[in-house]
Amino acid sequence: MSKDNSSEKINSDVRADKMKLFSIGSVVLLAAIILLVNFLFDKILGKAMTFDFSDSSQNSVSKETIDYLDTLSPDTRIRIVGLFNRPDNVASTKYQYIVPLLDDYVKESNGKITVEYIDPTEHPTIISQLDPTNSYDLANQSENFVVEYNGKIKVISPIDCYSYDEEYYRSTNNYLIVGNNTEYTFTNAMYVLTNGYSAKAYVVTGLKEEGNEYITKILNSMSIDVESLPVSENFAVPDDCSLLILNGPNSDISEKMYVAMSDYLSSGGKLLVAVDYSSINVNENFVRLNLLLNQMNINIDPLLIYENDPAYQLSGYAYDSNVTAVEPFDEFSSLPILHATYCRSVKQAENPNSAYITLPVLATSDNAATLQVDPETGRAVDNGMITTAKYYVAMYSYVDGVDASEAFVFGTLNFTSDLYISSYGLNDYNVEFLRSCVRELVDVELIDGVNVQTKMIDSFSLDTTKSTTSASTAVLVVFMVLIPVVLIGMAVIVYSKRKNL
Amino acid sequence: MYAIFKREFLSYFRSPVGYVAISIFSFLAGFIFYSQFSYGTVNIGSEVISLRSFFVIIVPIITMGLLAEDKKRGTDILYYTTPVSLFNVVAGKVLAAFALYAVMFLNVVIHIIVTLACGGQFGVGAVGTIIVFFFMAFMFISMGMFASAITDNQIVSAIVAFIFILITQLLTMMSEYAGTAVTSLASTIGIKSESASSAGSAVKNFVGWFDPFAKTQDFRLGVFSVSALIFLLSIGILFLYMTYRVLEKKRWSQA
Amino acid sequence: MIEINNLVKRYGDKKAVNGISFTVNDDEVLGFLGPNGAGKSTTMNIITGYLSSTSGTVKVNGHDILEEPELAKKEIGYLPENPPLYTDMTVKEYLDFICDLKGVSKDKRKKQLDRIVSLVKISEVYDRLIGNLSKGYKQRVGIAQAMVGNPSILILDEPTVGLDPNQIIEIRKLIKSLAKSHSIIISSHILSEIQEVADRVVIINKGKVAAIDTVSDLSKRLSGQTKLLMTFKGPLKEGIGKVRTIPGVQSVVPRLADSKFSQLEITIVSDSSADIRSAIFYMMANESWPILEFRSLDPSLEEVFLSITAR
Repeated sequence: MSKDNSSEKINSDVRADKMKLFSIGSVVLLAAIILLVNFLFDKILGKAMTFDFSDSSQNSVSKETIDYLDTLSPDTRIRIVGLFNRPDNVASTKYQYIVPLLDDYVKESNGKITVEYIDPTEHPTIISQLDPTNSYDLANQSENFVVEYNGKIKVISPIDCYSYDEEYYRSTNNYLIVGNNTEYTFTNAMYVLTNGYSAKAYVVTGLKEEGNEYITKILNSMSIDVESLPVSENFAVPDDCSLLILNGPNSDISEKMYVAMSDYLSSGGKLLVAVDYSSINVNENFVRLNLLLNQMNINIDPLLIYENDPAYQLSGYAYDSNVTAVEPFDEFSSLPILHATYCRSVKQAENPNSAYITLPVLATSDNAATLQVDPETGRAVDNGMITTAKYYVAMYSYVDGVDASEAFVFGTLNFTSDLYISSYGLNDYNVEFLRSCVRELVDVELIDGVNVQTKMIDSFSLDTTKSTTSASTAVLVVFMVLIPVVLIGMAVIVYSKRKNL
Repeated sequence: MYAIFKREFLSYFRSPVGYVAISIFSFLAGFIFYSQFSYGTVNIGSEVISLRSFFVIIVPIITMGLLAEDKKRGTDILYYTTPVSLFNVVAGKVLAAFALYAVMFLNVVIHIIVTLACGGQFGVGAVGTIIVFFFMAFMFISMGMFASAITDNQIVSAIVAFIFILITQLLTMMSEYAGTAVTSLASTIGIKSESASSAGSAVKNFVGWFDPFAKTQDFRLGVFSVSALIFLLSIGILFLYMTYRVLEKKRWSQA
Repeated sequence: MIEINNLVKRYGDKKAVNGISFTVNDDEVLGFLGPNGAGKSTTMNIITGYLSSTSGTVKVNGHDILEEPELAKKEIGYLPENPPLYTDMTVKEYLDFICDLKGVSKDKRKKQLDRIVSLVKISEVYDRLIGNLSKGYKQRVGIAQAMVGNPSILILDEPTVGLDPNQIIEIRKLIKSLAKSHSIIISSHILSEIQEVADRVVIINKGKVAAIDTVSDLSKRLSGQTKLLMTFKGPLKEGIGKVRTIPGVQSVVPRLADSKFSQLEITIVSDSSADIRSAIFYMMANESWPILEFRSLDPSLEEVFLSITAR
């Protein structure tokens, strides 16, 4: 009601009208102020005033990432696009640890990083914007994220962001997340986009090996591009190869490959080989691979290492033990005691090639033995070679010169396999050791990637000896029956007592 | 304020209302705790965040009588004719309902003790959820209080409070509908599909922005957002102020 | 002391209170008289700060109710028409709450409550639930509530309404005893009740003050209005004629007549000091017209207003 109106009506209650106006006006004003303050606070300080209270800082980027972001020039613009609408409730979904962390990226990056969620079915232009050549098929990546910098993109799937218990997966077909690599994955994707790769590694595939997911991840994080090199009739090592990797082959290389790889080595190639002794490859002696390695004075024996020293055994298993890094390789990881399972013995070849210098890398105790296992029975065969001594699990060989070739040969897969790394995480000492080996092999001055740690998932498990079935029955009875019933009883008592006062 | 607080708080325990409310809460919280416990993992933060869903049942019970009953009995005249300010009346009553919530929360404290005794975790993340839980309780109690101020019938007041809280709880869902409605409306009147859907998502985002449940969802992941707390606090204060104004209206109302 | 000046309260187009002014002196009992809907409760609600007036001022011991509400309210104890009782509390709990509300300090509380409880005689129901008390006791608890905090002014809105005669007498006694140390405003729509306890009377009708006077002056004003109602067995017309002849009778109006009896309303001349009732009796006896009913008629409030405003 306007002022004029009220003064015209001489009869009206001016005092009451004033109070009414004040009353309604003040409510409207307060509501407006509250809305405004909230909108502003949300927009300006909302991100800054969000704290990570999770038990292992799942939702905060670590110092390593922040340091990296600080090295970027202030006008850097990295765009992270989720190809879906922002989920309202991320708890217990695969985005649980991703969406909040990305918010923290934005908060910590001083405007260098933006995070958007755009569903390509609603906004189809986003695809041509991010990937004009359509080489990533973004239309079919509806659950994934795209990291874009300067026109270059990397696609990250939520599955890349976790490590799973692979054994659990094999036995139950369910994923059990054991580690959170979200920050690792995103930071390194940005790192690679902003810095480019400094070297390229080829992983030989097609030799009945398991996956190469984790070693790829690790090499990427060291700014090494990884490409697979499938076994084929016309196998050849590409010219841009800075490192050739044989990760857990279960069958020998072909003659053609032997020739190609020999050529590669003689022209200064770098080689990383890892083989173990498993039920699949007991019969495989890797004759041609050994021929290749013998050129560098290394030989992989078809023998399983048996650790007799209980101090070296892990959980009492002779096939699962600690190995020590031999000088100077003890510098390669912060703890020189590493973990090896089902190892082949790796030794210096007979008839050494004097051009190469060969050094042991990982050694067992002085009290170990080697066995041959009968593939039929699974039992050790006494082949007369059982002598307790110190055996080696890995060796290193190099030649000085212009085309200096180098090789690391591991008799265990605990340094390179998905199985091991997925269970022990990217911060494991073995992984640290592997990184050092790669650095040793790859000559190019590697810009150190960002070494973000795997975050352990918060565990809310109870002590299984205490959370027994009977305990949970007690919980049921006490909390769902006893307490509510007692309270209702009190209600009845109080009511009936007071009613008649 | 203390006088009002004391009377209202004690009145919960002089009538069955307080016991019944606590009993319902105990049962529901016990159910969540039991289902986690029987599974072998207890995440207190998750339990507390889940408890938000039960405001819609418990808050109307404890706020329905706060002012409606006063008006019905005629005792509200005491607030106007004794030297106590109306705002203190409102504050005292909200505090009483809030304190009842604190008493209910003892259940969760017991759950925490049991969890720790069984070797479980209780970390800072869970503390964050407890803080936001109480901010949320404050906001919903203020809403319920407002519902109690606009009627003199307890049942009506409870139903109105229930509807208020239910609407709040369903805001995200309603924002989706509103967004879809705007999109389809915009496209039927011939706006390009791209801008139609962006108008739709703007509406969805605007409506969704008000959802306190969405704002506090991530607390269970350990994300502690001060702006969410400020939102809850300020909406609560707005409802308190409106309640105060409704009480004050009686003095100048011409009806 | 309360000064009320030109109080107006408007509800929409209707004025419930239209320019009321009067003063209540210290230790005085002021009767506030008016028919139902005259604006008594509205006026009292404004004085106590429950409602805000459209215009006009109320000053309680010098404190304006709108400008210094807390100071003004401290001076007043109010018993509204419906006593503000929490039926789910015991008397003890309730009075304790009122003490909290009015800020009576803990050390003074016991003494004050003891005094009030013995004064209004509620000690035997002290631990009982208010909801279970009789109407009379509820009214006493209401009065006790008003007395908490030692206000110098008590405002009692229709304190005897709905009580049985015994209870009314008790409450009147109580008010008389309170009058020694309090200014009291007591409202009623029954004249005799006010005459009983009040020193002065304010009569309002339709939102306006019709009269302010001491009780004795008011009685004088109304003395000319004495009326008698007589029902007898006999002929109406002759009856009227006979009664008219008695000196002091001003007018005789027939009320009712049928085959069995007649009824007359007899107005007596205002300056007549003689009691004419015996004269009428003997006359009727003489005529052998048995008197079936003979009583004096209390003037209705409407008539009081008519007579007052007629002057």
